[in-house]
Amino acid sequence: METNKVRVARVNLEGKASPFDPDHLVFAPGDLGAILEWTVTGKDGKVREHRVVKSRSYVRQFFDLLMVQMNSVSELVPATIRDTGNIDREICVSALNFACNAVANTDSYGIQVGIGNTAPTISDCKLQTQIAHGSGAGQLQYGGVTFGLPTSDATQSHFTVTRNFSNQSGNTITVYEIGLVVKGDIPEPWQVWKTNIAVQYNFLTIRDVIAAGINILNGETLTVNYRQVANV
Amino acid sequence: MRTLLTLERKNGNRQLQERRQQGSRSFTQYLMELLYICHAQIQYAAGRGVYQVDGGYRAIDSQYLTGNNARANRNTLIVAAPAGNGQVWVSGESVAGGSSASLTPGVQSLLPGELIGIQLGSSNQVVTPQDKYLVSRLPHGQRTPVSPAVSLDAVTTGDNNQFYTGSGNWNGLYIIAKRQMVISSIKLLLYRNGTPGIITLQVLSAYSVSGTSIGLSTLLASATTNGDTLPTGAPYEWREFVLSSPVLMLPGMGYHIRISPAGTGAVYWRANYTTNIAYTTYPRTWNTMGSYPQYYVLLYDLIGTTPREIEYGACEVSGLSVVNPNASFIIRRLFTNNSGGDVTVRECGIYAGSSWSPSGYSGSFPLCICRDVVSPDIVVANGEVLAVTYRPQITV
Repeated sequence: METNKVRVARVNLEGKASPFDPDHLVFAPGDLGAILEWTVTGKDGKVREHRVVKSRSYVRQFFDLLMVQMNSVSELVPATIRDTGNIDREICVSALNFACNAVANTDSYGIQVGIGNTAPTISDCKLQTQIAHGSGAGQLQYGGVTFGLPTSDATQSHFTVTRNFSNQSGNTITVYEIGLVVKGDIPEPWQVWKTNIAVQYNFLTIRDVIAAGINILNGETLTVNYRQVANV
Repeated sequence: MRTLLTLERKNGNRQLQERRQQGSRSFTQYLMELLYICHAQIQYAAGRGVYQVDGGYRAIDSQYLTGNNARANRNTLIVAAPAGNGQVWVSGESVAGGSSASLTPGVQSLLPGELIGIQLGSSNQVVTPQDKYLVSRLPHGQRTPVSPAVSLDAVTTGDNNQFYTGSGNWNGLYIIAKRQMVISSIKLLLYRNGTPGIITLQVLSAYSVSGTSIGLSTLLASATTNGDTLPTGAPYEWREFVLSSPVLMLPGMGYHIRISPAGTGAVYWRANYTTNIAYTTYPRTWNTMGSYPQYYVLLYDLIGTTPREIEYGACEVSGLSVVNPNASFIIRRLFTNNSGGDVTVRECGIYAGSSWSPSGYSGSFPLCICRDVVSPDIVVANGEVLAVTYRPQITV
């Protein structure tokens, strides 16, 4: 009798996994961090690659923005934070800080991917070499950022930030770096009213390097999930 | 990110008596909720349901006023705070449609400093991600514990009028607590007309919506009394309502106490009627049908207990250090015991100031983003100082 082998994508885990739930990476009590998960899906919808790793780290801009919110830094004496253009920007407390809800075709913030493979440093302010949005050579089409609602269980609470990257460039693209970029709001204390609420700057908060790279064949889609986790 | 928790106890001469360091257990689900609403820019219509630190239900969001008048000055993660009774301005939304040159926060866009930042408590209940408050919070101040229950907050004189409540209607007062209290019963000066039947009293968490409006959320406790046994006139009666369960009231937080008669008669609640209402005179009538006869100051007497107090210093967020591959900063607060006796600390945590502001009128509330159990207990003697420091650290 002929049997058809079912091709199952191999799931690779890196990090300490629970023996009771191998898909559940273990954070130590008190950890606050992120799980980076990616899936490469073919044109036929079949998953070719699925990996889950513990994100290497937040970078300093995460703390810079957190302290702006925690201190309620005013427009009068703003904080200075380096943006993804490597320029120091004045930032104050705002309901807009930490926004990463980028829409489709917007590559300036939200989850970003790139081809740089230099190891992360705490002061990284941008991806080393970002892959731009588009369907041209070396480009990926950035989908809109979506979110999984916060939830919690006996030891952990978390929510997920997700983005799809579609390869319509005609050739294989290899992703070596992934990051999360968020908004920061500028003060305008000299204005009677704030005239340009839409202008903010972009700040890198997480950067990961994937040493082996992620190959995305032409026509395939890379889905990236950052799941931010707090463990007690 | 790991967080180091350091507790240092010093005597009256500021000499170190004890130092503890432990990994914080620590950040709860509400830190995730606050990061989520910022990342996703959640709007008011789809706000996330959370419970503030006295159990009142709130919805949080990142919406700000639209248009060129908006400054988006809403904050949802304030941790730095002044000492004790110092005020923290949590939300600075300007009035809808007006120039933001005049930021005019309502009273409940302010919170007392003690409710923001590092907190102390006396319970060693195990930490869970779902913790919404310290189980037995120690309040700010110098006072000794009050127990058994006594009158803690009251307006008992000056009545020259009364507020009518007919069958099936709800009327009551809106107060902002001036100190932390656990209320076990409430006395109201009442009389009746006809047969009001069973009178139900409810205590609800409440918050400002606009200058003359409040919103109601969680029912915290209730009680009943037989209204048919009330007098029909002077000298009236201070009727005591024993609550179904004790209600924790926190300073700077709003509460609505209301009554409703079930019978065909009516109940009258004695009040002071005056048009000269000071801005901070908050025991005011509130008709839950929507109107607001603000010139009645209803008489009331809140009876309960309070724990021993410890003085909350300012909470600082500072000390950013960035040396590759690490970055860290500190959140620190000093607590001074001038209560005359020992203060036993078994838990600590962090309350963050958050806000709700769909139309330019802000209500603020604290959310618990962190809780730790301190083991073994730390006993802070009278005259001693306890320094609590959280140091979050990230490493690439």
